[in-house]
Amino acid sequence: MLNDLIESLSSFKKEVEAAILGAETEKALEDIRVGYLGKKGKISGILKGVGALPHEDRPRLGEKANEIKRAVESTIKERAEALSSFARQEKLQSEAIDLTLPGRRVLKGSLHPVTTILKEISDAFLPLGFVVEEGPDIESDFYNFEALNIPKEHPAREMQDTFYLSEDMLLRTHTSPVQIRTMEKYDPPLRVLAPGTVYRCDSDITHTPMFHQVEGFVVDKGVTFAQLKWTLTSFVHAIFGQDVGIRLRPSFFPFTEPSAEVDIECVICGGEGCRVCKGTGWLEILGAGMIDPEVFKSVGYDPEIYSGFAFGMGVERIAMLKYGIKDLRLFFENDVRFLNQF
Amino acid sequence: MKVSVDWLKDYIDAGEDADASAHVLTMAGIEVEGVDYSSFSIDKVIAVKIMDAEAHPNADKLRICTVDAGTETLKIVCGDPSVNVGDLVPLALPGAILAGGLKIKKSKIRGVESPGMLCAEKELGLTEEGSGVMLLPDDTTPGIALEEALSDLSPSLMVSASGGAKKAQGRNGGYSDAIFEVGLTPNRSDCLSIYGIARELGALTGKVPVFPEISLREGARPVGEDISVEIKEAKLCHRYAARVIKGITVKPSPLWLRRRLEASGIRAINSIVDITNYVMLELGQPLHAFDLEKVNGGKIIVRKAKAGETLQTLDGVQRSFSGEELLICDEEAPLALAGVMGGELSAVSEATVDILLESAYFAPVTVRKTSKRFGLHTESSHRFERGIDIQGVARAIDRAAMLISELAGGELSSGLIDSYPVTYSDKVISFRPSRCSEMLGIEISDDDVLAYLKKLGMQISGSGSDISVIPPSYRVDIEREIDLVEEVARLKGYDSIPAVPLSGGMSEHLQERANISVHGLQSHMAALGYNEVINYVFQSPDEKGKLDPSGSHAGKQIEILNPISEEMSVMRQSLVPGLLQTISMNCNRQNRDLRLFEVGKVFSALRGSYEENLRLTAIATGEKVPVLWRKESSVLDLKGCLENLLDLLGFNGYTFENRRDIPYLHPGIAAAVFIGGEKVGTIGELHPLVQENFDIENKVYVFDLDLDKIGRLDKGKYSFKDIPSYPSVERDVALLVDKHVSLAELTTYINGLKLVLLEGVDVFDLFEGKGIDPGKKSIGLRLRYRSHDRTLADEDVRKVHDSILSSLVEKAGAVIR
Repeated sequence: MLNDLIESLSSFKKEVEAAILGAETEKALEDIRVGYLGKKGKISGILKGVGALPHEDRPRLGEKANEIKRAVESTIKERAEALSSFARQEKLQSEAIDLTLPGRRVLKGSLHPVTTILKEISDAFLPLGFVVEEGPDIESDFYNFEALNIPKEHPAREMQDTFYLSEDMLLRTHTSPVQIRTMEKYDPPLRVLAPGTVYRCDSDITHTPMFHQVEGFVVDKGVTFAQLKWTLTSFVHAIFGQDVGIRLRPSFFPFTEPSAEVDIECVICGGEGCRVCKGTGWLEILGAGMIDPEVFKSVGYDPEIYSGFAFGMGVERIAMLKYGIKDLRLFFENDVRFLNQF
Repeated sequence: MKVSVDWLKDYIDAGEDADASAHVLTMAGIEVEGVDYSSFSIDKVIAVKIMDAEAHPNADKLRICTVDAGTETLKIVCGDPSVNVGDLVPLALPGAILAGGLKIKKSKIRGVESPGMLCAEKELGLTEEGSGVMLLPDDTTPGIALEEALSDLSPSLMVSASGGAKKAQGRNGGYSDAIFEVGLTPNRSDCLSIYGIARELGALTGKVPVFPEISLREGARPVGEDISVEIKEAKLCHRYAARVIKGITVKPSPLWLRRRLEASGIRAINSIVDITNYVMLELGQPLHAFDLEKVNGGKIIVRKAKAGETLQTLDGVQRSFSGEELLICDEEAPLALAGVMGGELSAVSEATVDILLESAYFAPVTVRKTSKRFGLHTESSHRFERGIDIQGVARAIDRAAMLISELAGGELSSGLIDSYPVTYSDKVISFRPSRCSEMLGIEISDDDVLAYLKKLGMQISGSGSDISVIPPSYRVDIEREIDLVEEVARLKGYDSIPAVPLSGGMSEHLQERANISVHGLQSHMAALGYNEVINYVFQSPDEKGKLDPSGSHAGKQIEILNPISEEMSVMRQSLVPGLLQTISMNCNRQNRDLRLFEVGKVFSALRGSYEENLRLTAIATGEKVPVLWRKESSVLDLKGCLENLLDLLGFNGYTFENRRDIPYLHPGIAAAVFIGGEKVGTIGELHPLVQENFDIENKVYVFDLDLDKIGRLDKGKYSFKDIPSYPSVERDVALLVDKHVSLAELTTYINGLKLVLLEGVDVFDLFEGKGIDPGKKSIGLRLRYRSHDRTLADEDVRKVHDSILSSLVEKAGAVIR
């Protein structure tokens, strides 16, 4: 009698376990739980036979029944977890988004290469204590020429073809007038950087009537040519790299004496000689020199007390060398296929 | 300037390596921009005499010339119809390699064998142009080598500084040279000659230059018999020297001379003109030769032009004078434009027998003015403008007289007319050698400093720090102590100056326009998806009209007196036209989706002064999001960008006010932008007419800000506010209002109530069309209430909310939906 009941409980366990594993939804699983373990469930039905057993056998049967009940409940729980994990999995899969699709974004904007190079140039000088000064684009003959030791009828005026607005007013041909304006306004010591737009009456493949320059100058007691050389070397290293060589050659500017043209080792061929550097291995990138005593006199500085140096460079020229741009006119054509590359 | 190294070697031992000399010069400030090697051979080219010319049996245009080649007679096919019997001409024999690599071989031309070719000057590398067969002097012996036929070198030219006879170099008919392209700075007029370069090279290398020989054989007739000189403008003509040579024969110059002129970029004309050019190139002194017969009255007068006076110059142009020009005249009329160009009438021609040679010093300013006025830039004016060596005037005329005697014969009148009213006096410069180390930042002894100056031909006197230096007369650029410092630096070599870190003080003043960083602003715009452009500030005068359909743009446009072109003749008053052109250009190149901005100045004339104003203008057309996510774009996208930008710049009190009066914008889609009550710019959609004017297909949105104004605005002190501790309550309301009622109007009414509990107003819905009366729109507002000291009760909110609603009903005529 007892053995029969135990036997039927065991086969019940096998049956219910098969049913649980066959349940595909949480609802089906709940139905199984109620159908087997509920008050009116099959296990209760089996336990109704307990009354017919002798007293001493009853605990054994109860024990066995509870053991099976626990086992079934644990199987149901496992199955429930499996089902919910499966359902979650399904949901997640259905929510999938292809992240290789383009983002909802504004498309790339860009800075003009002149802006980028101007920033790089000021980043090279500002840590040395330079302050940025600006001046007007429309200048007087005095600031653009006379005060810079370029008198009327001087051949040096030929170096810079000028746009005139009137007899006396013109579009500045260089950023050097900012030197005069700044020195008129402040006393030394000065370390100044003056970026700006400049204009020359010239238009062909290598000249545009408008371009950009950066002027820099330092005035103090005891400023030397050797310090100019150091300043320019640290600039070249900041812009073109630590291993790029620099050389200074004597030259002539009316507002500096001694004057120098500054060459860097050709960044295209590394100094071997190529088409860009015309085989010389060197590229001219800026003009510099010790500020001429005549310039100091025009702003009321005493050249016996103060000395200084100045330098000026073309921004487009540096951008062309850095980025390998061959045609200057591209800078002002503003084709977005050019702009988007920066 | 072109410098033939072969020629240079007449005066200095320049070594064999032309590149090395080029480097030495370049590093001393005489920049050799390029070295051009040229070589060719006229070996196997001989002189022959045409004995007979008969028609070619198979070709109309060819002839068969029988030529006397000295030891033999040859038959040569020739295509030049101008060749005559009796002419002496060059014949290239088989094996010759001519200029341009042309190889001559025995060949049949239309069935007739031709053992060689009669040559033109160009084929021999003598000139750049010309096609006819070259004619040789009548006294040439047939059969001799062409080199020999042409190299009637004068004895004085046979000795070169490198030693040895000059003639030997060319004996085998070979020719090779290196040409320096020298880019001279305008201060170094002393190097505007081959000898000047030799002198400079000597100072740099220690080699001693040799001055060209001058020896004159003067005749008996005094120069004064034929000519006198009167300088009326001594300030403009400091010195005028003249010589007379009579009975010359004008003919083509010998090969060596022609070659040297060609190498220097000057065309050979005839022996007299060529010699004046040769000596100018050699010594830097421009010379001029007049046909003496054309000098009326035997008198040269150096004077200013009379107003209205005219002269036909050598280039065939009739010049009319204002009265400012310095002229060389005879007693009757102008002969030449002093220092710039001679006159046609008095020019030396084949028929000239007697000549007057001129060598003078004209003041740089007068030559420059004249040259500029007539747009006449000549080899002569170039040198006078930069300053020639006044002490070299006589030397140069003597050198030319010597060469003329040798190459053109004639008799040199005795004596030199040398009118020298403004005599040169030495410039004495006081010099402290210690200034070199002070300025350059190097250690250099006084002795070394003075040694450098001596190398440059400077005379030194005095001792210690009290030194006087006299520069040579040809160094017109050296006048001050600092000029001497530069010479020392140059000779010592910039390479040898060390790099020494900056020391000492920094600027004590601060940068201006610190309120906004222009670069920061540019970076923000780029991050917001805009491409930065830089347009020319120059515009066409009609851009203004294109921009302004109502024609009411204020301010005066600035015109450029000497523009590049009409299209670039005025200064822009707005960045908008340039950007519209950029859009138009890009659209033509299939770039239709554009977001562009520019930061730049605009210009206008105001009450006699020029105003410059820095602006930021942004412009958008088409889409600029990935294709997949495109939706209809609107002016509000651009406004969003502007708001982002102002936020990033740190401004928060900005507002917008709809405007109908901005001429280039759509009258219904335009607004002014305010920060803290100050108008700083505009925003809107481009007026359809303007869009049409610029030929743009899609709608264009634009904003324009005044950065100078914004830069001056005070952003105010920013102080932290506590985070609210009590919750907010939100109430939504949908209003039906007239279409033209703006949001700003509604918020003005609401804010006018000054309600403490109202924290903010948002628009959550905007609708017009179906289900709404035409002329009306539905606008949904979300009002947010909060108290800083308690949680709001329904009753609190209801009271405030109701007061807002009734105000909107009353003032804006709103209907609550």
